[in-house]
Amino acid sequence: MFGIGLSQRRWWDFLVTMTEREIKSKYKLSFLGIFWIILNPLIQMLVIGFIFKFFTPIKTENYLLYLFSGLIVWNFFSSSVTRSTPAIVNERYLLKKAKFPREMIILSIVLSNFVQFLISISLLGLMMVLMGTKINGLTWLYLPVCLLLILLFTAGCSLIFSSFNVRYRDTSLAINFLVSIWFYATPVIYVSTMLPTWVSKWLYLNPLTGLMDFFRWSILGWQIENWFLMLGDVIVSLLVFGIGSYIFKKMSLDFDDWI
Amino acid sequence: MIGFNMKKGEIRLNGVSKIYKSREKRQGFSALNGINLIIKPGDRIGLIGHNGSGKTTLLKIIAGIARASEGEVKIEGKINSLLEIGAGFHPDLSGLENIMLNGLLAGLSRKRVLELTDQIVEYSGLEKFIKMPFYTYSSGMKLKLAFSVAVAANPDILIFDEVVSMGDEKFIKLFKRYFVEVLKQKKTVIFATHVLEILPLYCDKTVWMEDGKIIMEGGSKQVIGKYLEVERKA
Repeated sequence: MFGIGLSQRRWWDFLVTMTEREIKSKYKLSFLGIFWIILNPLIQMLVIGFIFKFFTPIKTENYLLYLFSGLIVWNFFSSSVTRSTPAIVNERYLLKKAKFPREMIILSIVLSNFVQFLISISLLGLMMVLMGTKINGLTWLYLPVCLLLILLFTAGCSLIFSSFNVRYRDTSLAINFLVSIWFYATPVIYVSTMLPTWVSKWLYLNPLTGLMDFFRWSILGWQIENWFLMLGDVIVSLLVFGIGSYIFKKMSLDFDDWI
Repeated sequence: MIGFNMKKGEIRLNGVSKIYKSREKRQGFSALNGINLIIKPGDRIGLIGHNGSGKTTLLKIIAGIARASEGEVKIEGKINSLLEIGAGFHPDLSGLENIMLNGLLAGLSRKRVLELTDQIVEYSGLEKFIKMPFYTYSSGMKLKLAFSVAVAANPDILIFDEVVSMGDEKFIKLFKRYFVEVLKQKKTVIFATHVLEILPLYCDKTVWMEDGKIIMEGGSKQVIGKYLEVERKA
């Protein structure tokens, strides 16, 4: 998809530098720096876990692990998308300098969040060890595939939203709103099997539902209720990436006209 | 046919038009209209015309920042553009980190930028400030850094818009110093400006644009003379 953009070595260099920049500039002037990567999901988990322990009794084994695994996927997705959407407009000073594959800006944001995601996953691994969770060795092998799918879906959404935002600045406002609803349409804090079947089926219209299932299956050994719907979401995720890349490539030729 | 046997630093525009659809007018806003222009390697071209005549749009199309709506654009060689102060730099990053970012945008590899960094810092004269964030820099310092990277990147074509040469006297002096330095390198240079008096000193050829068209091109003195003549009559 990015054959043209990444065919030259220097654009790889550029992507790496931009990703570094993204990580650095995020934590540069902050006091706690890189610790925010760990602190953020940890505090979120403790707060939500605490509330749910008392108010909504979810009868699920290892709810904390279930919750944490969901939160880190969600955080990766939502922070990538909300940060990417206005990025082309925000980074206009880069576009005004030279011709370069514009998708680098979006991919660097997604990749920098992906690095944080990987750190969170190792934190999850640590928690599993500390809590003495039994690890099913075989499903772990699927983790890289699953991470790649989550990465591609997130990149696809980011490419679509960011290119639309160049022409229609309402996009970033709409996305902020959409993301807050999207959270509840994804089984992050609840378990989809708690819902009536007809409702939980509809949840799979949201590809994150299937990806979330896949992630929990591979990392926690959690059962997948409906393989058919899960695989459907996998295909949709790939399509979103393909379509997103195509739309972005087409629209990026005229970005300068709108910023 | 154009496109064959082009040399590094050569630019060929054939029937280039640009229509901005973003100006929600019925047919869009036509910024360039059928531009034909051939610039040879090592040519130093001045670009004049009133505000809104299409100079910046033309520079952007040559730099590859904007796309032509119609026509053929053929460019051979590496380009560096200075169209806006601070373009290609990230305000939060230090001068040093920005050298990498800007160098990559200028077409250098990561390795090459690392090799050139000391040289760039020295040339810019910003040793003391190089670890400070870019947003703390004055316009003069920003210009110094931009020029230093541009020179080190060794482009075949350099494009300047007037805005980067505007400022107080000290700043203009600084710009001239760097500009003369660049001219010595015998690159293809395109310089859009309103300051007509100095143009013949730097550019042998001048292109005069009005309403998205080239009205006249030729020797700088000749074109500027005509421009001033028309100006006086109006």
